[in-house]
Amino acid sequence: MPIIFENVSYVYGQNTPFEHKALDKINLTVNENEITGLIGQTGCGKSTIAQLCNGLYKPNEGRVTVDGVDINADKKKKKENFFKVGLVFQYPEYQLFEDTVEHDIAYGPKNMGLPDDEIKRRVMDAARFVGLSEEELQKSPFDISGGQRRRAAIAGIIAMEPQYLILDEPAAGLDPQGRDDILSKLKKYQREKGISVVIISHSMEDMAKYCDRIIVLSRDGVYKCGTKAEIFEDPAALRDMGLSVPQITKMVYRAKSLGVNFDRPLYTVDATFEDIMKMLGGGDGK
Amino acid sequence: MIRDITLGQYFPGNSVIHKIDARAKIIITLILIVAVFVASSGPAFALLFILSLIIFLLSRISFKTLVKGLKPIVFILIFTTIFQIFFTRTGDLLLEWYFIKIYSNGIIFAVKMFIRIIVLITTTSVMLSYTTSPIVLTDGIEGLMLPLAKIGVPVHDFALVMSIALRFIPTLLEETEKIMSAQKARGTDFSTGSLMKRARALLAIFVPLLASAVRHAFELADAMICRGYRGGKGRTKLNKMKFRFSDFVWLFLSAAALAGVIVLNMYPFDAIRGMMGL
Repeated sequence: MPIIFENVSYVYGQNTPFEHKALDKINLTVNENEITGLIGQTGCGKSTIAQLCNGLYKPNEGRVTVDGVDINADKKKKKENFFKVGLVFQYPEYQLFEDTVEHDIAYGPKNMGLPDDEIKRRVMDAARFVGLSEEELQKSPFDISGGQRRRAAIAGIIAMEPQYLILDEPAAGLDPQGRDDILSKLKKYQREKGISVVIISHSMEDMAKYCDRIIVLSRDGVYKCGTKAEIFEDPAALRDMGLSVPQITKMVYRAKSLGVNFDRPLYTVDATFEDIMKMLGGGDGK
Repeated sequence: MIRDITLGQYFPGNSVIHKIDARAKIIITLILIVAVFVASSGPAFALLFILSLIIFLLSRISFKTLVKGLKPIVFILIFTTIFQIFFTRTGDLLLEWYFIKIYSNGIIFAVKMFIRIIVLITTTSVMLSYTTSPIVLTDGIEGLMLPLAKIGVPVHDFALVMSIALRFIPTLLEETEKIMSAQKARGTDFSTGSLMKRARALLAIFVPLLASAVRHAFELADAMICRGYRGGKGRTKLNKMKFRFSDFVWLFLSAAALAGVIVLNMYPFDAIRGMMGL
């Protein structure tokens, strides 16, 4: 069963001079067993949606259901929601606090009240997935590099083995290699475990490369929700919202207008390269 | 939500009170505080009460906000009032019930004390905290303390420390909230469990918060050096404070209020009769 938002509104600082309506009657669905991309301009409420998904925020209007259950209905089950819907915040490396990376990753599972050997297994599993070495696990989180810290923080959530994993800008501030590395590891993790992943990002390239389905958010709510082809078919509308299509798709559109025939829509550099090589008679691009 | 705590309590606005020069505001507030403590006769209190009411109305701060601001002192207010009523032993005996004796002066003192505290809190909060942004307020304090720099007091540095501290309160609050949410999402429970458990839960906030405060400090220091900060000497201001005519009017009014209070103290009823031409 998916995460469903029904007519959800959220207001910051209600009844103060700083009142600000972040979301106004939003409807959206996060499907199971796929990677959903959430994209939109700064300030359109992406992070607010993330915190509504696991019950950190309570909607002022409407309801959020996970697996068919309203997550705000039962206050006693709040903690269960946190474990069911894992949330990785923006710049999560700043939340590390334990003496070693290993202990920090174990913090979530420990709060779940799991037995020690199960905690150990989960920590090792999560560390392996994000690519932290045995040696790094024993270091202080303040002594490893920024990229490794990010990995450790993500591992801390993965170790709780949530059914839904929501990541708010997981690749922000990383170098290109770090970006690809983390995102492809997340994709591999999703495919292996069959869980549902939501990635919030600004980068159309990342969205096109890693997501199965994309939700586009505008200031007025959900603009569009669909596959890459459905989202990227109207570059002008995206541009009006301060977003765009991937660079390579722009190039393909341009080439098409000049008379080059691509027989399928293209969103990633790899696929485009393949097609161009085919056209040049180079077979499969090898 | 932490964000709901209005620290500094500044409410942006464009009222007459908002526009008064910060230095003038500080002086006016000081004069009014003195007036409140000097006042002793009924008419003097009435004058101050009306004055604070006018200031409050001019500031366009909502009554709800004002009452919310008074909440923390309700306890003190009730306590002092009760003490005045029950423990004053002068004047006419009004009521006697077992060991409780209430005298007329007790009631009078209690009412005076009540008005005194209310007026004090209202004028200071409306004049300073609600209508002056903290940064402007520090500028004002710096401006007033400037003469002290001549005898070697590092006025500028004090002002800088103060404005940096004020500047970072919202930042750190926001950060605290973020860290709290992040740790909650990992299952931290801040409100239940043994004392040890809760202390440990707080550690999950304090360690990252301290780390980020130190990071901010270094970043700010670097940014200041990069922009050529060398201390207060020869430094000019972007927003130079200027005394306007209306500021002088306000200063004059508050001085007049103090004078009025003193006069009303000395001739409580004669003065009123005189004013009314009786």
